Amino acid sequence: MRFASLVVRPATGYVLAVLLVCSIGLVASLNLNRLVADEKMVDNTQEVLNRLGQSLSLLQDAETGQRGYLLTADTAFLAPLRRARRAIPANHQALVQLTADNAEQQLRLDTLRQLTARRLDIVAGNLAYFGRARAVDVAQLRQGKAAMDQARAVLARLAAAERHLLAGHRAHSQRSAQRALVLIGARTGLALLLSGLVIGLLHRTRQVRQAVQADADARASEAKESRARFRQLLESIPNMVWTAQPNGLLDYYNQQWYDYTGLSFADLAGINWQHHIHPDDFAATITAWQHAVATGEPLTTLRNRWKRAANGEYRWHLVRAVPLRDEATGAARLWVGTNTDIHAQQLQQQELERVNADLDTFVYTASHDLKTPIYNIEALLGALREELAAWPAPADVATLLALMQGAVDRFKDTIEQLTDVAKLQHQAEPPTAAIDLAALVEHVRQDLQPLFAATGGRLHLDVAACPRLVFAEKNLRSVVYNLLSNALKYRHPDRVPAVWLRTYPAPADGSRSAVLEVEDNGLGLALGPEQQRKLFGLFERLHDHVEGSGLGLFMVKKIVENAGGHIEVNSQLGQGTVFRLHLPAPQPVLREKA
Amino acid sequence: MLSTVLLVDDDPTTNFINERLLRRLNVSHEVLVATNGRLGLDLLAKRCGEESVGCPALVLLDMKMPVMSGLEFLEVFMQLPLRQQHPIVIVLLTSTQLEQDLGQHRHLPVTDYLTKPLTPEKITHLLSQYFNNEHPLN
Repeated sequence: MRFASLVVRPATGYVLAVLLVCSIGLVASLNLNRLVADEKMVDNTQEVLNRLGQSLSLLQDAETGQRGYLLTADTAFLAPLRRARRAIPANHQALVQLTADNAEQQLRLDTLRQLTARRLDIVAGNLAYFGRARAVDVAQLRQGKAAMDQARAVLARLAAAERHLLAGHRAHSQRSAQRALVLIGARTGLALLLSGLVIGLLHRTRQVRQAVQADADARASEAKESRARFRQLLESIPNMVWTAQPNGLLDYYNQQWYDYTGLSFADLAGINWQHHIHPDDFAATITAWQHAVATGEPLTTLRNRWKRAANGEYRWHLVRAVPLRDEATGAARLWVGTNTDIHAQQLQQQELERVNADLDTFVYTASHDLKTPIYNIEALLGALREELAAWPAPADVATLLALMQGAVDRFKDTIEQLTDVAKLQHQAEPPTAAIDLAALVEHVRQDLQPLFAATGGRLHLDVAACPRLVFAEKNLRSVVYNLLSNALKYRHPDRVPAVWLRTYPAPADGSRSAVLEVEDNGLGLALGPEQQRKLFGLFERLHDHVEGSGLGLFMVKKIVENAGGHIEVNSQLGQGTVFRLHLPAPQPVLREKA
Repeated sequence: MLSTVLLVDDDPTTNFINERLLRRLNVSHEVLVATNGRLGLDLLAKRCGEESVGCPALVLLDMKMPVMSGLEFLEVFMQLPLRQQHPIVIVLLTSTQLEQDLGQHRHLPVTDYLTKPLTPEKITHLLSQYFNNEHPLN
């Protein structure tokens, strides 16, 4: 924009300057014409004045010739008279023509012509009389002198009028010349000014152009240098680094790649890398990479295997890639990716996952397979009791049988609990419904009614801030049941147990996650890290004065963590305990997709 | 009273207890025992064939067994022609909800599911539900 206006402005300047020069020419030619016309008028007037002078001198010649002849009677004196007679009409005719545009002068000239004619007639009369009488008619001479005086006066008037005209013409001509001078001067000045401006503008434009060019040059060289530094940096990274164009084609690998794969740039460039990745990882990698390129979202968790040239072994790598974005548009300009060898960790993790799965299966199978023998023992115990009832049995048989039944019951309980744990591991279905907490807590409270009645415990419910939770109902009930029953079971001996159950949205982290909090005024614990671990451990118990399986808090923790949340505990010995469950936000969109 | 009940379970103790229970409740004249699905099918073939002497009216079937499991037993049984002639009630005995779900996900000729262990109440309920205290054909 700025550049364009700079180009346009000199052009406008040029046009204006040319117009001004044209106008100067026009003004000059107009004024010159006027000057020439004025000069012609002045010449004309001058000519008239000359002619008038001549007219007077002709009349005087005629007068002088007459006087000489009359005094000397020598006819030689008549020559000037004859010359004057001949010249006067032509001179008069010229005067008439010269003042053709002036009516007043024409009138005066006519008067002059009559006076001149009369004067010449009188001279002719005088001469004729002298020829006849050799005397002079004095009366005639007086008449001649009067005519001569009149002609002289007319001539003076004519000359005065012409001189007046001349002065007018001179003044007009002077004014014209002055005006032309001023106009031409002003316009020339303006043209000079414009030319200066245009030159200045041109200079300025050239400067701006040069600056822009210099800037571009500097930037290009800076970019080149920055690119070189960037590449140098990428080369110095111990990881395998690559870069790709925004369209997803790979255009650079650092030396570590070539060292590891033993391949060349041509082998890996563009989409050629697809031939060298582990075939089993091909599909997942392509999918993840295409998604990243399409959305501009970084790659963070992609894992795939690459063959190491040194021993032909495929090793696991973690692939991370981020788009470098254009500062102005935000569009991806270049992808930079790293492949980090995580082979050892990956194998370890796979082993761990396998062991975990085995353990889950073991717990499940054990709880299942132990059921049959314990049920059988129980049934056999019943059969034995029936058989023994037929005879009068020794006194301690009943006690023995009762103890055996007790042991069987505990065995069965443990198996039931194990089964519950195993079930927990197998459940993976995401919850769909929002649970009404008040109703659920009321349900649990009724289940725990005997415990509430026996302890006089009070439950304070505050779920107004978050009355509904999206969670698997069975699990949520199990969580609430365990926390409430613990709060009552581990009550302080000196006070009536009070339990507070609260829910509220997670503090301003933008997500829709929620916190479920259960606080009691019970025994409380001095919790070090080891006790914390034990508190939530499977079959771990921190108290032995009341019945407990060591399963409740393990289940609570497991349920919360399986759902993607976490649990924290605050406890003060002799004061009470607060369990805070951070429950993750539901993800309805993902579920709809699945 | 039914004529014959077939117990299919690999655990001899369970079989002993269940057989004793059935006899004490006078459920049937005869209680047959097979220790896996294969042997159970053999017995059915023998008893419910041409002569049809003592074909079981009720089969109590365990899920987990060596050689042939309860589910495999049912898959083969579904294809047998003798099924058309003899209305055999098959009750699957399960240890867990999961096992029951496993059975119900397939279209198997199972009349009902019972959670172990077998008790007098469960047997009484079975009889009233499916046999209406009537004597079966055989």
